[in-house]
Amino acid sequence: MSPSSADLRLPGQTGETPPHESGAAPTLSVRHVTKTFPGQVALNDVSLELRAGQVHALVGHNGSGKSTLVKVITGFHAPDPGATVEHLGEPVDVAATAGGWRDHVHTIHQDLGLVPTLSVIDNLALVHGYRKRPGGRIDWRAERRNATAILREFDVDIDPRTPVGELSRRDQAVVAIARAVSGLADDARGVLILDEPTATLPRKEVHVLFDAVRRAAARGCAVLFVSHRLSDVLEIGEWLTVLRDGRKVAERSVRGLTHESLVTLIVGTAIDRDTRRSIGAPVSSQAEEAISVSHLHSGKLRDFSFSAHRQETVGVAGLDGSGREDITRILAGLERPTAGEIRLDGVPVRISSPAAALAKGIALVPARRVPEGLVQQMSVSENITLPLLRTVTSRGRLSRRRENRDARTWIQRFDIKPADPHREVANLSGGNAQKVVVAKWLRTRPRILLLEEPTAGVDIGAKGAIWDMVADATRDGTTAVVTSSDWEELAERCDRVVVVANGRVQAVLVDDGITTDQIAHHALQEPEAEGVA
Amino acid sequence: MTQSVEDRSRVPILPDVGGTQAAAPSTARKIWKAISPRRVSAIYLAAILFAYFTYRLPDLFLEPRTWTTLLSQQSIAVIVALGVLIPVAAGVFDVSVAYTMGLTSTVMTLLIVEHNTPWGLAAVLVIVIGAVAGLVNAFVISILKVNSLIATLGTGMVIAAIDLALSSGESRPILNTSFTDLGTNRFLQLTWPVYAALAVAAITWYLLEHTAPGRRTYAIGGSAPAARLAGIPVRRYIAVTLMCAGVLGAVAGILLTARIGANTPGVGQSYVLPGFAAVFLGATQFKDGRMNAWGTVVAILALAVGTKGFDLIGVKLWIHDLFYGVALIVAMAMSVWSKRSSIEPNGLP
Repeated sequence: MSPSSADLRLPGQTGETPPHESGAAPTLSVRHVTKTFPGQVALNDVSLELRAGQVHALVGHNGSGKSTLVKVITGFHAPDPGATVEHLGEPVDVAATAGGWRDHVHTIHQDLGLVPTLSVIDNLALVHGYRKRPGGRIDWRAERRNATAILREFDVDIDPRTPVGELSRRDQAVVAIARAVSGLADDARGVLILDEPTATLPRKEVHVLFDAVRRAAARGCAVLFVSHRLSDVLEIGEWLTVLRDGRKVAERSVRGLTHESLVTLIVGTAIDRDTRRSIGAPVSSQAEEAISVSHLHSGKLRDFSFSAHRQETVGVAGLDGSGREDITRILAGLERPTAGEIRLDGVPVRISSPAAALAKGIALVPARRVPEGLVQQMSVSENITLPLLRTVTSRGRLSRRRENRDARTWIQRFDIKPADPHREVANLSGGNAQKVVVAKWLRTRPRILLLEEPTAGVDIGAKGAIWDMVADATRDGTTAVVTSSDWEELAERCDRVVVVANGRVQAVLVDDGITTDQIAHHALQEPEAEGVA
Repeated sequence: MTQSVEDRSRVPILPDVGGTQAAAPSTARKIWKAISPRRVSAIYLAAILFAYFTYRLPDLFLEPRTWTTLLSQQSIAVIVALGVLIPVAAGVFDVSVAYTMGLTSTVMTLLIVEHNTPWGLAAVLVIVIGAVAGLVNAFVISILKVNSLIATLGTGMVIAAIDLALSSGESRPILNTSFTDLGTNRFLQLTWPVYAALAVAAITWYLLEHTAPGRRTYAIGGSAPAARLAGIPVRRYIAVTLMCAGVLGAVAGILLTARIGANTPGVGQSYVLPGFAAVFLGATQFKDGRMNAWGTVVAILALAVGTKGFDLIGVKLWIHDLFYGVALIVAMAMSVWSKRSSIEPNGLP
């Protein structure tokens, strides 16, 4: 616990000293990290230094390489040859997955990694182990005292015997941080990585989390803070690294940055705030709209409106937690909106269940192929025919022959490999499995095709093929609504892109206005900025 | 089931031979594939057991009477196992089927003996009881959201308690021979319950394998969320499978009563484990890891050959439980081994 580093700062103080000019070796220094995936360079010669007592923010929009870099540091991905890592000036093995320097790196993900049914004590012990009395009995009294002390350090006064699931979201975050920090054998050697920790946290509770982060830094931890929320970065960050397209494009002190200048750093060009476009469709054209949603409210959505015409591909972009995810869920009948109206071809409808959605011609390609998209143990043909068995049934008898013939035409049409309708989908590659999901819905000839992250976990070749399938469908009169965190692909493939932030439509981009920069600009809107522009 | 024959098109029923039009493998390969030990291991198991016991007990074991009796006994177990099979295909465990059989057997006996109810009417009444038991299970599983294994363990105990309360633990003989003939009269050497079991197996097979509702049932068992997104009313389907299970439990109860000519308090218990063992062992037969009707039937018979042989050799009674217990574990391990563990109960909506 002794703050031995020269770089130790107290909470609230921001660092002016550039890392390379300060005396001591950085706690963790990764250099020349390149990571290529088939057909894609995720990281291109990126270097990063984390210093004791400093909160280092890592920003960049979706696909910039942020999460890949975090995964390299945490040992989930091995970088390409040529990368070096130094821990306190000592060269260490990048590829080591556990032991040695890795024991000093603690990561807190968005989901916190706590077991909700276990008590605070038990959750702490999952990492640290229990204090034992002679004979192996757990020393509960010592455990309780210890846990209370740890929590007190972070100004949280709760009974450590409480199951974590009963704590507020904020207290849970504090427990996760306390666990990570108190688990560091020696704070001055420790690295704490927070990966989007505030994405699901209520705004007013973020500060408690920040206090905990500052305390950890004050104890000598080097902190890497990865976030989309720029106001959080400006508040807690001291040093800043910006990634764009896998490269480091900026590294500087956070001091002196404004929200605007930070957005400019992330998207690369200054964007005029006045490019926001009018939202909400003109009333007169409502009759031609295949689908229109007005004033929708749900868990995350606030007064959300949009519409789409026949043959149109409309993208919905937004950060995680922006409400992006709710739209397709509601339209597919999986969730109910709390208010608002949905019209299909101008007629108001209620979508009470997926069966009701399907009856109205709405099909959903869900983000999670398993378990929602496919029945793993079933064959390709069985999966393809599942939503519409009527056409392969006569007099109540399911004809395997017709079913396979049907499946074969879809397999050929979309080049699904292997071209075997009897193959279990569990044995298919991600790209081919996703083609099966899209094919099974196109077979129902949907009026509205909803797609959630249609190309996530799909290789680069199949990505194009899947979008071609969507284009195929829209030519035939289908309306496609696509939510995706791959902004580049939205920009490339959509006729219009609706950008959501904080549950509201921030902008509707059309034609040349659809660029990743524009999407990023509007998606990164802060709640405070609302109504200012 | 619910959504079966919504589209009666004019197309005649097509002959269906498993349906592959791919490059046809040679006939020899096809035959080998159909009878390879990997696909029908239970038949091989039965054959080995059969050979062994024939060697040990040449006279007794080859006696036809041994076999016709065995089939009569096992026909009841087959129907119970098929009752277990249908909800398991939808990913739901129903432990209560065998207890439903016990209860309906008691009710059947009491109706005939004490109330002089015509046995046909009594049979209809107990089938309704079976369906109601299925509905109660569906309520506990889908509405109260209790894990199906736990839920039906609970309802099974309740059903067993009602059974015991009604019968006061006494066995009452039935003197109405028109009813007991049903269980004991023979046609071509075999008793009627054997034909009944065959018929139930054929119907179950057809419904599960060759109709849209059957396919949807398997889809629910494979992944309830995917089935739901495919527009399948998952809860309704699960309720129907549980009602089928209850009805089959009742059918088994009727036939058991007719065969024995009395109710047998506490009889359900001994049918629980064989039922599950047969379904899971059966899942490794014919269909590569998907539980199916004929696999279940074959598994029951293979297990029965084993227990019968041990009986005749004169080993202790506990060998039955040992045999079924081991068979259940081996069956489960085999289905996991073939990497198709469609047997986990999945998350219900």
